[in-house]
Amino acid sequence: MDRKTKFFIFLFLLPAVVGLGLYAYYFSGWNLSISMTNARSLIFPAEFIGLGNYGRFLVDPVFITVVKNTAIFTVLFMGGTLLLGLLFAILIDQGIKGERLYKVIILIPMAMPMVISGVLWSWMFSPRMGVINSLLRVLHLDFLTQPWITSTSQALLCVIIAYIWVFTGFVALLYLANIRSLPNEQSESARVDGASKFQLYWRVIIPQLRPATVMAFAVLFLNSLVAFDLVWPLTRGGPAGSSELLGTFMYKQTFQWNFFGYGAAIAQIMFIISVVVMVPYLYRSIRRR
Amino acid sequence: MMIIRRFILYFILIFFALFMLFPIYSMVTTAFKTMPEIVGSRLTPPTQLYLGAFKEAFDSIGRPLLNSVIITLPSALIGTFLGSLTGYVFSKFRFWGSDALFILIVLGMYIPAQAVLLPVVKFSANVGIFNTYLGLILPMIAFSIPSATLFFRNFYMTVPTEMIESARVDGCGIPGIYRRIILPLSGITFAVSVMINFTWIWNGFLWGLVLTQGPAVQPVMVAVNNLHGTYVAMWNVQMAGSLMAALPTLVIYAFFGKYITRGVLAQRK
Amino acid sequence: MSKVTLNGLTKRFGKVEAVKNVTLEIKDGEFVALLGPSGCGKTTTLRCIAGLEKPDEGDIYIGDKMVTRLSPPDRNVSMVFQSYALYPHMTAFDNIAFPLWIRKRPRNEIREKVKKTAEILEISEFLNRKPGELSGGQCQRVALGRAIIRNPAVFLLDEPLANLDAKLRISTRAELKRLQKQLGATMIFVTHDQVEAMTMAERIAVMNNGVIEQFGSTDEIYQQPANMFVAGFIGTPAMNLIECSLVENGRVISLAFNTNTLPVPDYIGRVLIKKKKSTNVVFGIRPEDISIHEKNKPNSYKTKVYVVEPMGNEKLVTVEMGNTYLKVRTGLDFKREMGENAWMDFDWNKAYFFDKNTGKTIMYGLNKSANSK
Repeated sequence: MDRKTKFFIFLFLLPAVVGLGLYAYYFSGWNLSISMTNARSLIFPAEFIGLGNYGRFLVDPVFITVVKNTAIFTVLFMGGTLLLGLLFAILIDQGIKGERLYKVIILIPMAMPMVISGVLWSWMFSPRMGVINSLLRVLHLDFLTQPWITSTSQALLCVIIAYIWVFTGFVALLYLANIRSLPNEQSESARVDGASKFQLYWRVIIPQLRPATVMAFAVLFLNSLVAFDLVWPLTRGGPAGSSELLGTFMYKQTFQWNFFGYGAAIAQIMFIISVVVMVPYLYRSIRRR
Repeated sequence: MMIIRRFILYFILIFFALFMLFPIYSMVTTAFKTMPEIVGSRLTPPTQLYLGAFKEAFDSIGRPLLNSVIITLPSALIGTFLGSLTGYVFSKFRFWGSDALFILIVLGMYIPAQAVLLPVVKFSANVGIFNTYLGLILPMIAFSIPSATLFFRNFYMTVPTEMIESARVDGCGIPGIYRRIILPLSGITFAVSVMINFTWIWNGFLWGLVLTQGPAVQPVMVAVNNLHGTYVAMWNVQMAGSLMAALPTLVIYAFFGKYITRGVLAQRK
Repeated sequence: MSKVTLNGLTKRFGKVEAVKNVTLEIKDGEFVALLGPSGCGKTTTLRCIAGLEKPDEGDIYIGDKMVTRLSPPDRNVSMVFQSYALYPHMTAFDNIAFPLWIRKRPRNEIREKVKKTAEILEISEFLNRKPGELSGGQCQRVALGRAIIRNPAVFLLDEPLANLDAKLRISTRAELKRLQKQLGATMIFVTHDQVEAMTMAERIAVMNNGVIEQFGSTDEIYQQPANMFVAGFIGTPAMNLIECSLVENGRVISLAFNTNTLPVPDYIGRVLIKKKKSTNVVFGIRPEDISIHEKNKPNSYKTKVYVVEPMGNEKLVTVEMGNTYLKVRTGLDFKREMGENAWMDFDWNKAYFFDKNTGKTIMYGLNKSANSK
């Protein structure tokens, strides 16, 4: 490779290297170092306390609750979205009129900004004037109205429902694409052999949907780990921390309470979790290069 | 028998579609209602198209809308452009460490914002770009690069190497090849990548929240959140603000959604 | 095992009639090929028999049962697809067992039957592997196993040998034929390869443009083609077809084409004149039925050698007569080269004459006549 080429390669790569080197890697390193201090102020220097913040995780009841919430949220959100998405992909695969329009409609929630979806759903879930309770009252189902986001037992559920609303359409389309990519002759062969629709899907099609599941899993997991934008206008993590997730907790600790060190440690944990989950996924997709 | 099954199928699907659309429907109808109307009924469409809520919301989010445009457009354009350069390099050249470098760049997509949140804020403050347009544009450019790189690399890999080699034999250097062959071919890819980046930057909230203070530089999503906080009982104002803020990305989705979803799916591979 | 009867089968896709009024009777235990170029409707016909396509007109009977309205599982047919359509996430065992598995047969029964089937097909060692780990030939046998295990009334195979490499194709041809006899199965397969059809099938239905041109045994198809299409499609290298006009010159009847005049034997000429109103015919003669000599022989025609293609065990010589070229198969003794003269004569017993407009066979040698106009 000649010198001119080398020069231009260097030049072309420079912005990316500088940009990401700084904003992604240098700053995560910086964050790591902050996480090992007890910094509380932007001005005064802080003491190094090693893994003290991380140790605090194990004993801080609030943090434990936050982890519990995040875990519940992640499991229910991802499980619900994957199942519903798969279900609707199968339903759409039966062949419907206006399929193109339908696919556009179910992606709209994902095209909406997450914050605005949060505002929307707080309108939906508002107990007194909210749309859902109003609908129930109109249908004379008053007894079904709930306190929703004002209740400590239901707030997290509201977040889960809102997130499922955002992502199910997308997951359904991922599954649909996977289903459609399977050779037709497999279904035809199964038909000729006498398989019922259910057997066809259960035994032949669904076992081959791993690619879509893996992709959906990656997208959903990353979103649930860092969940913030939608949660903030919806519940703010409340009431009383019942819907406090890692994302909101970290923000509050860092920017409301100024526990910079502690907040940075929370962020590091999120970083580690996402790397742990994403590396096998990325490894496999890069393998296919 | 088949008819009953079909009926149930359509019933479930339509129910699901309504579930998807219902909040949007609610947003749109509520935005055009007066408060008394809303108190009267939350479910029916407005009798008249009342624009007062929009005016009120616009007072609060007008400036932020402009801010978002100023922040999002350059970031999307520059980020995509830089990503195209990077993607080009990785598509055609292999050198010592190129694989590792590529992975490191793409990995940037998967780093949680929280992991660099505080340092970026501190850095911006130290350098004096806190609460400025530049303070948001720079990180947004940086974070656009990984996905754009991936996108363009995949696209450029489909450009036959012979085309480029023949240009080199004719005497073209790298910038020449880029300018004369690659760039003209990338028209659509470029547009789609810009739209993808525009969408996620415009929709972004957390970064705007931490890097700005006050309406001067605040992006529209932060403003909408504030609207939600201040106009607590005035849902029509909230909805009107939300609608206005969501409009650009909804419009992009409406017209170009097909290309974007294709692009996003291709990126993920 | 059953016979299969098609009656006036017609299938349209939009404006295109893929299958036009096809009537066919296939006997119980017969091995039949649907042969033709791509787009001729053979696969569509097969799929109609399977029940994967609904015919627009006509009826299909399997045995004595009319199955036209029945869905595939109710017809008791098995189908082997060109791509085999194996389920990649299941082992060969599970693939073969699939038809029984979905009918909820007991485990032991399934295991027994799969073992037996695997033995017949000689794939017992591979049962635990997945299709991704099997070669093309092995995959095909797994697909066959899946078809056999149900003991259906009819086997349908769509281009069964197309995905195999050349050598495997030849050995599989023989194996399939043996298998069919062994099972006593009624097998209908689709192919575009006439060698395949000729070697495997007992009777061949030659199709073109949705119509059956001829349905008969391999001998019939080869020696008594019903029309020009069949004559030209079957046989490698293809039959020489020459457009010419009949010329009567006193008592001698000749074929005239370009600048040539080829006198024909009396008995042929007279039948031709009697049968044909117009004087335009197409003369057909297979390359192996022309003899070519280095020296002049009585009753032979002078030609020029255009090109010689040595084939190892024989030579394929193309001769030129004016603007007409004929291919001739000859032995290695023929030593004339390009541009040199040669003399050829025809085995008039093997000559064919076709109507230029309809393509139908007017007559062929041996004094037997086919349908004429």
